[in-house]
Amino acid sequence: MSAALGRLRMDGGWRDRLVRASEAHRSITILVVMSLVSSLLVVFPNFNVLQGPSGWYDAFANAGVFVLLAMGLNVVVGLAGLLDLGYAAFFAIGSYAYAYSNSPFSGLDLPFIPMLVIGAGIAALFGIALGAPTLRLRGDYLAIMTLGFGEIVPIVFLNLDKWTEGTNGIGGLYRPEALPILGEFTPISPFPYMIVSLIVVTLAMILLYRLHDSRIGRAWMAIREDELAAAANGINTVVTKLLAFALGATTSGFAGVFNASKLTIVSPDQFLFTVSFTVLAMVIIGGMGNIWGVAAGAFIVYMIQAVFLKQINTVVENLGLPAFDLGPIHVDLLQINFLNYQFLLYGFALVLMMLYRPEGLFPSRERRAELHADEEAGEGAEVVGAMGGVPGENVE
Amino acid sequence: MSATNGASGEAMLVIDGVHTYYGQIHALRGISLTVAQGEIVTLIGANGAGKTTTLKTVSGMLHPRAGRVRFEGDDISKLPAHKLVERGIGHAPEGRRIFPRLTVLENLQMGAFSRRDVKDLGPDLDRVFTLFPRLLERTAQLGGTLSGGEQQMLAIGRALMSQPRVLLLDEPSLGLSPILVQQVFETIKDINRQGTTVLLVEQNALQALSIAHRGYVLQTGEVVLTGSAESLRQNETVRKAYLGED
Repeated sequence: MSAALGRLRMDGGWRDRLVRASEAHRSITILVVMSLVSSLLVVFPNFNVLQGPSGWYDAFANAGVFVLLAMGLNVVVGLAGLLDLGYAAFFAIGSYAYAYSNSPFSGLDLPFIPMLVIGAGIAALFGIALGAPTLRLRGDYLAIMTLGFGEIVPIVFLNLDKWTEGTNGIGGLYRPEALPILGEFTPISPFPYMIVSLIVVTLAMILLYRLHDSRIGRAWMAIREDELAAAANGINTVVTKLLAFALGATTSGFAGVFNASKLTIVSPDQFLFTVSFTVLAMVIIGGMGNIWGVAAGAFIVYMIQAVFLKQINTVVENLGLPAFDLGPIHVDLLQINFLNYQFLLYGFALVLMMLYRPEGLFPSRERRAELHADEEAGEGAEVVGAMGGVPGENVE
Repeated sequence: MSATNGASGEAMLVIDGVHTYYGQIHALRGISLTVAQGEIVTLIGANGAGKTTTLKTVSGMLHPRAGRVRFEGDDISKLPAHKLVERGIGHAPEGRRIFPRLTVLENLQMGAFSRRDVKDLGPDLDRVFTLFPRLLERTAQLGGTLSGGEQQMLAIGRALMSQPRVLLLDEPSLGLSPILVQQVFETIKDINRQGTTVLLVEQNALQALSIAHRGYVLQTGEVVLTGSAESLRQNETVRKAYLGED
């Protein structure tokens, strides 16, 4: 039987070999893929589809923020299995950290790149401060607690108006100083922002994959599957969960600094529950637990929300569908202002997605197996290939 | 059998006057027992007698409010579960608790999590596959798709991957067919023969006493009877209460 196992593992065409090679050299794979994606994102907008290049570059830069947020939340929800509904709180903390360090309000003008790290660090501290007393809670209880934290943070920023300018927020933030090659960060040319966004996403992805493949990654996986069993197998569940929480907060803080530097204003209403919810939806739609899947999912969802639905009238016009009669109703798509229905359509898309592909667009292996248990029987060979598991291989 | 361990002259595992609570509920009321190197010791008793609680107190999932647990001479009552795995206490918890969406192989690898320094798990996997050949046929299958018996084998196998010196088994016969129960108990005997000390909690008192060296009978959080497995099997009270004879 072990011979059969060996044979199954040896099998597999170029596709399996490619998968295995990419798993063995994760960082290089990420660099290659992200360079390809980046060149595509640089070239594509020049074709002036739907909107001009700077509109696209701006959208891509903003999408990068959500990709970061989604990848960070994926560590907490997808890898460690802790439902966090207040994720926007750490985004807010990162954003305000930048606002204090780079605004007329505080009178400081600290350099941008160190602030990325400092802002992320501050968010991480809050992550630990929140996680330490509360990670004993599980499931629904933890979710409600994080929901509460997510509500508290913007309200604190709102009510401490002496320190935060309250509802007006802190405005006129200084933009990042000019970088070599990329040049100035100006409101008119979002190109440098997009490049910085791509670089940050790439670095974050490499880091997260390295953690995912490490001992810590396996500990997260064990906790997600069964916390008690994880403890019985020698995993320090408290530290491991705290680490997931802190890392999620760090990524969120990172995204916050970048976003604040781009918007040049922070105000409490940017960090409401909808942000936490949208990011969670991105994680689920992308494929919880699968890092690149979540990143791709966040990008797609953001593009649908921010470009496709905004430009949907243009899209329909371009399709040039003729008017027709549906029974007594005369349908002329050109007469409908789809912009009014963008949230309805977004909601519809979410409902359809969960009905037909609950595991997400690019599910992780565990998730696919869970939701398609009936098809699993015939897939034993594929599972072996995907894991590339030689007994004992995964122990450092 | 030798009830001593090294220079301390004390048994490998000593539970000394332990009181454990779940919140307000006083679950263990001063339990004392010992397990010597190389023994199989079984805890029997009705539901709610405190058998599982005793195991959880030993493995660090619960901590005693009073009393001590000593392992190889050291007080371990306050150590967290993950430290105890490193020290050599393996726990196959009640209800199997395998990782359902990980493969059999990954489940076993997870069992060796505490052994940071080990590069090659080959010999350990071989040992588990020799004890449970069924698992070898299923290495790539997801844990959750195994049958109840296979899951139990996996749970025991996983606990062995940490190379425990004492193995805590909680109801390994739960939900298994009589033939499988027989098999699992045979394997526990094999594991013990290979040098692992076993503390076994069982509802199935007859089976447990047939492989154990000694036993303790628990009732509402107290030890009410103890002795060699043979003497317990002959004991009138035990026969009536736990072996289903009248």
